[in-house]
Amino acid sequence: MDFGLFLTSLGNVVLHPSVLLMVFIGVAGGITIGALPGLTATMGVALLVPFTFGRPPTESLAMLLGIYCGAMYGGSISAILIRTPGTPAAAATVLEGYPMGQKGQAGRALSMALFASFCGGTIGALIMTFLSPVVSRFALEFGPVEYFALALFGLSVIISISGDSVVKGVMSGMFGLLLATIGFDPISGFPRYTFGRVELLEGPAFIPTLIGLFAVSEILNSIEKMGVLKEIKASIDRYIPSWQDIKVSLKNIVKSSLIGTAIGSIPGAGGDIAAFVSYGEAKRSSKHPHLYGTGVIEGVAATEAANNACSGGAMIPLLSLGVPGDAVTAVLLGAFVIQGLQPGPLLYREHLDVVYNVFASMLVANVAMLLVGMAGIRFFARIILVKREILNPVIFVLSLVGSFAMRQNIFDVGLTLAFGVLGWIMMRAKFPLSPILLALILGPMTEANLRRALTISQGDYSILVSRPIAIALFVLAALSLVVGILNQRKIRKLLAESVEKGQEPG
Amino acid sequence: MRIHDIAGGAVGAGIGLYALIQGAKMPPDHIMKIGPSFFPSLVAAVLIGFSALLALQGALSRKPGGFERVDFRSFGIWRALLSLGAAAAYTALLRPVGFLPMTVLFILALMLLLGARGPLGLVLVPLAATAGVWLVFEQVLLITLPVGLLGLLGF
Repeated sequence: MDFGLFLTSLGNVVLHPSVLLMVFIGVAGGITIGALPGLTATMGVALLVPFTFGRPPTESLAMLLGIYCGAMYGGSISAILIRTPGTPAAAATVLEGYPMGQKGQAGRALSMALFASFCGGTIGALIMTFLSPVVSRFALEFGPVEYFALALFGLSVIISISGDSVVKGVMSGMFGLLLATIGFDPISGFPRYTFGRVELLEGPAFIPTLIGLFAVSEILNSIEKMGVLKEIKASIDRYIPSWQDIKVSLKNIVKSSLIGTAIGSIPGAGGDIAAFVSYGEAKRSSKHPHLYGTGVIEGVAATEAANNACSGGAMIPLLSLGVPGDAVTAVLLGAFVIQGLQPGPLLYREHLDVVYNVFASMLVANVAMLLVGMAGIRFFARIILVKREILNPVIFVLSLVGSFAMRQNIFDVGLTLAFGVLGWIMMRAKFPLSPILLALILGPMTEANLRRALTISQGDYSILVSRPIAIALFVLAALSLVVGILNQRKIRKLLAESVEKGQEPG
Repeated sequence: MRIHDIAGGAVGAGIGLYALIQGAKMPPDHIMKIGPSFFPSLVAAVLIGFSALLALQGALSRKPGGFERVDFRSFGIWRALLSLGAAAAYTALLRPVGFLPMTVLFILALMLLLGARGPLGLVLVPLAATAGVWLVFEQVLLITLPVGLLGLLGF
C-alpha cells in the first residue's frame, strides 16, 4: 500500500473540479436510476458508458463509480416508499423499510438507509483499498462445491424470512426454486417448463417478476383497501439518523459491511445475496427477532450496509484478477477496456496510478452519495404523502413501464401482471413472498454448481464435503437453519403472549 | 380444520407433481450422468413433502385464521379487479395504440375509478405523469417505448 500515491490520487479527485463534478453527476444519476423500478445499477452504468468516450480515465471511471454507488443506495428509496425495490440488491430492504414507511417513519428509514449505505460503501471501499490482493486470492479458491455451499447458506435464510409459518416459507422458497428452473438447463441446454414460449427460454425475467410480486401485488392490495387503510403521516424531520438509531444499528452496520464485502468479492455473488444473508444474520443475532418484519431499523441498516459494501467487494476481483465480481463490474470491465486499460495483475504493475484513482474515486463517491442523498431525502419522502388516487395509478404505470424497459418486450409486462396477481393471492393466504425472490436469485447458482460438482465427481456425492471452505459454509448453513427454526418458535411464543395480554405485536 | 391450508397444500402438491411428471419426460444425460430433470425433481419432491405437511397442519388445526377472505360484496375487491382489468387492457393495447395515448387513458381511468374528481387534477396528472415517464425512459435513458398509432401520423 503506497500511502503517498493514495493521497495524491485522493487529491486528483477532490481538487479537480471536473473530476469532482463527474462523481456528483454520476451519483445523482445513479440514485435516480436506482430509485426507478426496473432500472438496475448495471443498466445505469451500461447506458452511461458511451458518455465517457473521449474523456480522461480519471473522469470517466469517477463518474461510472459514482453511478454504481448511487444506484446501490437509490434502490432503497422506492423499496421503503412504495414496496418496489428499485434494484434487486434492495429487495431485502423492503422487508423492514416498507413497514417503517407505513408506520409514518419513511424519513427515519430513508436516513438510516443512506447512513448505512455510506458506512457500508466506505468500509467496502477501504477494504478494497487495503486488502484487494489478499481477498482476491481467497476468492480464487472458490470452485463449484464452494459456490453450491455458498448458495445453500444463502437459501438457509428462507427460514428467517418466512414470517409466521416456516412450512409456508419453505413452500414459497421451493416454488421460487422451481421457477428458477424454467428455461434452458444450465448444463445441457435442454428447455424446461417453457410451455412452448420463446420468451421463457431464458427463464422468467427477474425484474418483471420482482416488480410483479412486490409492487403490483401491493398496488392491488392498496386499491382494494383504499379508505380502509389509514392515511400515512410521514415524518420528514431528519436528514441523518438519530444518535439512538445509530447506536442500536452500528453493530449490524459493521457486521453487514464485512459480510457484504466478503460476498461481493466472490465472483457471481452480488448485493442481493449479501443483503439477504446480512438480514438473516441481523435477525438471528437480534434480541427481538419477533419484531422483524414489522419495521425494525436495524434490518434496514443491515441490508443497506451489505449491498453497498458489496460494490467495494466486487471491485476486488475486477482490479486484481480482471474477473468481474458482479454484473455492474462486468460492464465496468468494458469501460476499462474502452480506456485502454486491462484490469488484472498487470494493471497494478503498469497503471498503479489508475488503481489508486479507482480507490480514491470510490471513497469520494460514497461521500458524494451521502451529500446528494441528504439533499434528496425531504423530496423523496414526500412521495408517500401524495394522495392514493394519484399515487397508485402513477406507480402502476411506472411498474409496467419498468418491466417493459429491461427487454422492451410486452410479454414481460404480462408476466409482471401475472406475478402481481399471484403475489396478491399469496399475501391473502399468508404465504411469504420474499423466499420466492431469494430462491430466484440463488436457484441458478445452486443448480449449476451442484450439477457441475456432481459431474466432476461422476455422481459421487462425497465431493460436496471434500473442501474445507465448503464444509465451513455447510456448517454455517446448518447453524443458520437451526437458529432460524428456534427463533421462529420464540417469535410464535412471544406473539402468542402479546395476543394473550391484548397487546399489538410490534 | 383450516380448509385454506389444506387447499394451499393441494396446490403446492399439484405444482410439485406437475414438475415431477414433466421432469420424467426430459431426456436422461448419459454423458454428464445427471440430467436436466435432476434438480427440479429434487425441489419438487421437497415441495410435495412440505405441501403435505401444511395440509396435515390444516387438517389437525383447531384455530381459525390464516387467510384473508374475499368479500365480493365490498366495492374494494371490485375496484382492485377492475384496475387489474384496466392494466391487462393497457398491456394488450400498449404496442398497437402506443405508449403516450394508452398511458394518459390508463392513468385517467384509474384515477376516476379510485375516486379522484377534481377536473384540473384529472387533466394535469395523467398528462404530466405520462410526459415525465416518457422523458425519463425515452429521452434520458434512450429506451424506445411503443409509438403505436402516433407512428402513422409521422411521430
